[in-house]
Amino acid sequence: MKKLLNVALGILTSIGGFLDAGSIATSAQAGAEFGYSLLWPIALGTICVIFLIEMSGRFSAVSGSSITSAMRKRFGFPFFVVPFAAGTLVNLLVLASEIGGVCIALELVTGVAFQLWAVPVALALWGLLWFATFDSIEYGSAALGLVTLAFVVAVVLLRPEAKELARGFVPTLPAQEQAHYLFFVVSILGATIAPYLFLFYSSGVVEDKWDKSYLRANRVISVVGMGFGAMISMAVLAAAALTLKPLGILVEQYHQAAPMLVAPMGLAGFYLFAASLGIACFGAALELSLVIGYTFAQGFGWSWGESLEPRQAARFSAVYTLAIVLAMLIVLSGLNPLKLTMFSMALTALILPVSMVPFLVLMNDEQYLGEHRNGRLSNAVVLVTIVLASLIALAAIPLEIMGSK
Amino acid sequence: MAGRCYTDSAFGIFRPADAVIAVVARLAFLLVLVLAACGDDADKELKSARSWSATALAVGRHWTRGEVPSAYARDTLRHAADELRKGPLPAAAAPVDELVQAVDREDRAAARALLEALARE
Repeated sequence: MKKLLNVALGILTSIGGFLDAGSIATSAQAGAEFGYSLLWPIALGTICVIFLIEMSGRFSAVSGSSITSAMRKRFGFPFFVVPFAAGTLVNLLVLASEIGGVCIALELVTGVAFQLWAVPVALALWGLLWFATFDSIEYGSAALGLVTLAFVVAVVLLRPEAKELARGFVPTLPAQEQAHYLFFVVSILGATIAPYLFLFYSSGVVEDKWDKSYLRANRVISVVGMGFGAMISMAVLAAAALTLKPLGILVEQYHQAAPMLVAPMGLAGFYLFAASLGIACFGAALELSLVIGYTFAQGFGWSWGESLEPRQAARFSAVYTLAIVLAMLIVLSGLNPLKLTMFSMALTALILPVSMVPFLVLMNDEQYLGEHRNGRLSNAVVLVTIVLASLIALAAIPLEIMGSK
Repeated sequence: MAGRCYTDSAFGIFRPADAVIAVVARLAFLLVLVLAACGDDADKELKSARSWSATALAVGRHWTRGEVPSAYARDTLRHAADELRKGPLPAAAAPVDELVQAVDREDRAAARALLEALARE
């Protein structure tokens, strides 16, 4: 019964926590510019992330260790420091873009400039991490995150043509603006295959003390949770394609994306859009702050755990506190949160190979996983992910600079 | 087979020469993409200006129907006017400024009349 509850909560967490600043920004922009034709990278990225989430959960349930600490032990500190430094830098920028997303949501509702919300949002984030337990943070933010299902409701109300939607899942290259189209392909893949997701999941499995008896639950949560979560991302794209594209509205600022829920739902749609953006970004910011703390604590062998009192894991708590302060300063600098998000997605894509290759080696290590190590299919999927990541890394940065001016 | 190196792996045969060709081809393709992206700056600016103009019309209409709060409408319209002023369609900023004034006065009838006039144009 307890496991069934865990599976249900895990699925809800995955659905409610799927959207973040990256997926909202890339899907809304892609739908507004290219209609349904960019549904396929979301589907492809989701297949990859399902495998990665399943692997990270399996790894931690079987070995009892988090990916980060196993990576340090297996490869040694001099090697570990490379993915550690790259990952921390990128996670910090993504954290800033999530805090920026929350601030923009508050600006949408109140009209008060987003920079002025940076300090209160950072304080709220820190306060929750300091005083709440892991479960309350995970389940609380995910339950609130279910508001993002508003995008699915909007698409149902807008009644898209099923055939047109289905065509979006077939990879095609448009006759015009191919460079811009490919830039969106890599951005969407970068936003969907975010390493912080499976680092957080792996640490959560250790925090919740899962063992081998949870392997089936882990598989169900990965497939069903991530699958339905991706549906919301696709709904954002479809809603933008149905409402913004016919009007010729491109999403260069979050303000331009709000009408996508206003058209089918009126004033309620406006507030649902702001709530979805704010809650999705706040939930992701909580996860990212923890992931930065986990990475330092697990990498340096400190005590860690969101369920511990801050004084019992003082250095872990100090790291996420510092990360929130730094991210808040980035938001205060006044950078456009949407551009910051797109830049962070490109950097996320750039570091994917750095974290994927050692992860693949770990997933094939008999010492850690015994009979539960990767099979050929899992290896092939991770290899495909690495190839995708290398393409993303090669294409995203120049296309980001040249294509999104 | 002289001059070629083969390495067995779990996923087939790895040929370094093929891999180099693939990487060079990929880089060349990316260069073309980057150059293509450089070439259409003017198009992009025009597209962006049209988008801000469309944003202003959509937000204005939603505001007159009471579907978005005044604070949001004011911010978005002001931003649209600023973007239009610095782009290739500066003349389009003037009616958006008038819309901002209508929102400031909470004058939905004036905004509606302005939007109707813009639609006729």
